[in-house]
Amino acid sequence: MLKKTIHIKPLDLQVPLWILLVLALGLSVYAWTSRDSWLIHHRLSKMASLVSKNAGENVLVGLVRAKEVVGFFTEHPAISLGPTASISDRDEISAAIHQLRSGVDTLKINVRDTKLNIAPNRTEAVMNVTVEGVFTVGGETDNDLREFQLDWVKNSDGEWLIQGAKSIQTIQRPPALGRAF
Amino acid sequence: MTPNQQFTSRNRLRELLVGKHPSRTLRRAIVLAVLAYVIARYVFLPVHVQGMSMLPTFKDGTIHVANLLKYTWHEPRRGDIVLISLTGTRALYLKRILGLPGETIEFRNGELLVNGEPLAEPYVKGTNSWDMPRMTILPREYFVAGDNRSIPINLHTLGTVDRTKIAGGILF
Repeated sequence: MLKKTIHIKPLDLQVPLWILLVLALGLSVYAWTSRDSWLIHHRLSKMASLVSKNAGENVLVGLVRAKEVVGFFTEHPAISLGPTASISDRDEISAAIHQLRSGVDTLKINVRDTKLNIAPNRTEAVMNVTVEGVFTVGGETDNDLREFQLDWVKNSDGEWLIQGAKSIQTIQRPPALGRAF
Repeated sequence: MTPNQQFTSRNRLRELLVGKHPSRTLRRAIVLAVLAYVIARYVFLPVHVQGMSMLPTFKDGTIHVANLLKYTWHEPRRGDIVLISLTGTRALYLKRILGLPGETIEFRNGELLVNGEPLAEPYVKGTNSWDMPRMTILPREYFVAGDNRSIPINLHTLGTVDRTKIAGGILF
């Protein structure tokens, strides 16, 4: 009687195993190197959702959210919103966010584009970001597009915080016209 | 339907969906998908207009196609409608070029003056009272504004933009 046997050569198993190992290693290296990028992007989208405002929001909720946003900044950040407007204190940030949110009925912040450069020491990063704000005032909806440069720094707990922010004027308004409202 | 007929019709359906050579069809589909992505991302970009600054030329909510290679072989010209990039190409400004590098530009009671001479703007509808003192455009910069002059100048995004920020023009 003919006996059928199945032979598995060691090499047949080794090749896919090696491929899997190399893939796993590649994925691990990718995950490790892109971890900071993921963390920064995650914090940015969290901040955008905190600044956004739903219709009929409670005043107290608004205050709490404005306070929460402050936690994304270092103790004394350098924020420049134009030639004359600058903020360097967490309380001022909270007040500015509260003022911005109070002036509209609804606000949706959408992060449209980002470009991130993490320093080789992986404790500092510079991010260019384009955000779109869709807001409603008195039943009328409008939108605004802004570009910012955010300077991120990693603290001792591994948490990324904004230590600097400045508004980038892609279209340079003629100085004689003053700031747009 | 006999089992044989069923088999034939199933085969025809399969042939219709994936062709006689499924692997060849798959390769073609992948090449087509990659090509479509590259063209839609880097050459002909679909754009959705938001806002009223380009009224009446471009209405809010309309969809158009941009040509991102428009200024590869020649420089932007006056009157061109251009896309201005911010960080990337997922959000862009749509504006009209009014002034070229080295020219002077001003608005006097709604009238556009380039190098001191009034310039006709057939795309602007209605009257407006825009006023802006004369300014000189730097080399490698262009002066841009929207067509909707019914928006007060202090609420309108206008000014000079670096050549490198002009991402392309509108195809249709």
